[in-house]
Amino acid sequence: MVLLDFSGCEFILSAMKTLGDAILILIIGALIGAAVNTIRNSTPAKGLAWDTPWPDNRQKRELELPPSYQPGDSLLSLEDAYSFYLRGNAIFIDARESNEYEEGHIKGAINLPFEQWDTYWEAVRPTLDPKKEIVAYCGGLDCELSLFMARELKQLGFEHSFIFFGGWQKWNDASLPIEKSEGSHGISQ
Amino acid sequence: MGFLSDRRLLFISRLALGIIFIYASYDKALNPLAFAQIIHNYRITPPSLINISAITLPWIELLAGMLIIIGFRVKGANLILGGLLVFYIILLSVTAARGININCGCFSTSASVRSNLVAVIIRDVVFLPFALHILLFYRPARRRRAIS
Repeated sequence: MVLLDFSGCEFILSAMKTLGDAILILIIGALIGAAVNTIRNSTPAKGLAWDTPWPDNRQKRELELPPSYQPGDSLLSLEDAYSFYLRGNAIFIDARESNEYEEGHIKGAINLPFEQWDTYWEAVRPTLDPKKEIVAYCGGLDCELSLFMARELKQLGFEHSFIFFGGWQKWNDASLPIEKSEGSHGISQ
Repeated sequence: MGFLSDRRLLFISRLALGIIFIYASYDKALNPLAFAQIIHNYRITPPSLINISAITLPWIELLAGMLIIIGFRVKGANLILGGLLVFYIILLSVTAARGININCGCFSTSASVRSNLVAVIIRDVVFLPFALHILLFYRPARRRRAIS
């Protein structure tokens, strides 16, 4: 008489059933999602396009560390700063002098000359939101006003303050959107 | 260890895991664009897969979360939810190691960014025992075989 042990066999069958069920749930869930999205796309409550081109951001971009860099400084690469710009909910602050700002600045940026902080701060403050991202930038790789400004802003409770080191120079070299403002001082948007 | 096979205790694990995922998927299902942005912020997904993931993943989580609670295809649903937890833990660890701030999707040198990610990893690790409990101890109720 031969005794057959079916326990191993039963385990494999059970595992296969579990796997089959999981695959079925994956497929049905994905189909529901696709169906809902298709319906959404035909109504004002827009769904997502199937092929929205997101920029490929998988590659790490090395950041130049400013000479006075401190751990805790949040640096942005040009690519990241542009991504913030496109998203449209970050506030760019130009830390350079007013005349430099007037000659050309990142489109939509406001001017807060760091050297005259006390003169400008009270006017600029109401335009900032502690919940929003702030991107501080200044001239080129030899300018560190953006670092000082982001640190100051962080201390004042604007936690999401970032430093776009080398900002204006990199932005302008990459021919990204800029604007000029003639004859205006202080805040311009 | 016999108490772990208790159906009421297993139900608590199923309920916990199901509620976590239904809660997590709800907002993502309602706001696919915001979820796609979050996926993009992890800087690991090929661009062509971002929208498809944002469209399908919340509904897979929602379906599996509901099935695990109502008790239909529990082991299959548990495999998905447990697998997702493991996947998220690995993903978050890699993201923390790469120094990515997932709020902005930028590389950050800030220490607080890493500690925020570690907090999320710990949260996911805490959920993992529920999935393991169901994986090891849940047995579907056997249907009585009609003997004629």
